[in-house]
Amino acid sequence: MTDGAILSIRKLARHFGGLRAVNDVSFDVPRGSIFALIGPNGSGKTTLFNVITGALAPTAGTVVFDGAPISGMPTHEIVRRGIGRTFQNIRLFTRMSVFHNVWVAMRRQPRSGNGARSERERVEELLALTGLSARRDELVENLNFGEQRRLETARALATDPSLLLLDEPAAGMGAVELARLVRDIRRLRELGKTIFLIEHTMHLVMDVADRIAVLNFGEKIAEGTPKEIQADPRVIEAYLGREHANA
Amino acid sequence: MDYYVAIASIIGIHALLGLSVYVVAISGQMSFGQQGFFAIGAYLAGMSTAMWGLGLVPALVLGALVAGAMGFVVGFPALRVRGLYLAIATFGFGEIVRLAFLNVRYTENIGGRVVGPNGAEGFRHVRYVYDRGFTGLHYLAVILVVLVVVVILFFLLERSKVGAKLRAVEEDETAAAMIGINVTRVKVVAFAAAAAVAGLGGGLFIHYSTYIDHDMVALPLAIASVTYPLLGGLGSFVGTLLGAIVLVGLTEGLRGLQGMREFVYGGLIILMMIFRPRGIVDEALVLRVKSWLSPRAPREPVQAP
Repeated sequence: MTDGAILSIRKLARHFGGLRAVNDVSFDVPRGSIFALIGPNGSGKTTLFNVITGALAPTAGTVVFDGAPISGMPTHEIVRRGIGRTFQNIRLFTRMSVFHNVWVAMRRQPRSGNGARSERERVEELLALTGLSARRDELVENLNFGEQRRLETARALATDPSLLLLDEPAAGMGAVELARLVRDIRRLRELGKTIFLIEHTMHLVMDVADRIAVLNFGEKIAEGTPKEIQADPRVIEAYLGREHANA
Repeated sequence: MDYYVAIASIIGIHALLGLSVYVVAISGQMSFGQQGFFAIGAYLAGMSTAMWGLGLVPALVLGALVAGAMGFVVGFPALRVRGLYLAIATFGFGEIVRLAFLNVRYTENIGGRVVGPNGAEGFRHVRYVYDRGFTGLHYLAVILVVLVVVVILFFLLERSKVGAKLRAVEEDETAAAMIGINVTRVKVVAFAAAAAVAGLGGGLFIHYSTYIDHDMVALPLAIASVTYPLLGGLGSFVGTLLGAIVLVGLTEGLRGLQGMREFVYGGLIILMMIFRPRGIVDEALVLRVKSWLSPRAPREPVQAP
């Protein structure tokens, strides 16, 4: 199945006591697309990522990845099936070098003849892809913020995911870094990855995403192309309040 | 001469105990119970040679394997808790083992001697080594050979991806799971391997001293075994070896300190936690040494974004 949805969320809910962090959410992430999930702070976006990656169990509903239900599986099993993720608050291994952060995540490749590249070569490739080759022997704490985010992406790519979840990749970035991020995201799609990102930086989302879903108070209030979303009164209301939506 | 042989033997044995704590520590756990596995290894290896007629090598292997299996069994429930709770749970395990050996009687009369675990009397007359004409110096060589084998295994571990995975789990279990690591399995396997190393140290110890009793595997041994890696450093196993050499050398060498050992060790742990939380040989030092040793990569200028 090369077309259709790589990830299907069906009637997914995650409650914390009386708080409905995610409630009755359904949508499909098309294979090969760049899909964005937006919504105000506290609308349940990161909770949704945590449920998809198995860090949290769903209260109800299912997550189907590559045609198989994955809800309830342990995280490491979900990762092996092909989902990678970066974190909103960067979670690198700070006591390891840049190289080792990627190397430890490197998925074992099936044995393949003479042309097979060594694991180290593939680490170097990922470091080159993310512009970190010159920093390979540094401790993580010596990297600047943008480099740390790129290293997280490189580490996630080392698990060879077909679906990459990026949790606010543009947070705290300046204009130069943002431009690079847009290039990187498009590049990853060209490499065959499906990108599913949470983001607050609207012009980035509108620029890069093929399709957008909007969460508010744990429920999906809209879904569509960037154009459709920009024109949707429910979205404008969620972000700016009712009077703007009616204006 | 005998005196220095004795100190070197104790350093070798305690280094194994320290390495056992080190393995647990670099997978993000802290154990105050490795002396329990040390005791299991000691009693089992002792019974093997003194009562069951096994040779030294099978006895040491059996002691290590049974301690490792116990580590596996204890590891599953114990590793559900973390930090202080795990420290207390593991110490509780150590005390259970100690009190078990305080009460177990399983003796035989061999040549007019009562041999075997004998409750509060301890386990005496494990004379396999000395009965075969070994001197203290010979046996020190045995200890060092075992230590070298273990050190080689640690050297390989530190270079392997398994070692890196342990450290990933130590630093951030969520991030570790998110790169495909089975966190529970890594922790339990590390704990079992650590228990086997402690058991090996116990087996070496009882054949060195010819006897062991419950009092020798109590809280002071737990504190000592934790102090070696914490003082020596968690960046490399070399730190633990260094810690054992310095601390055992210090307390055995300076007789005046004998009675104050726990005081000195406890104080050192607190000082290290404040001033150098990863110990003397920490990760930054390891990285610096590695870059000195490999002149291959000259520092390139920082690449423009």
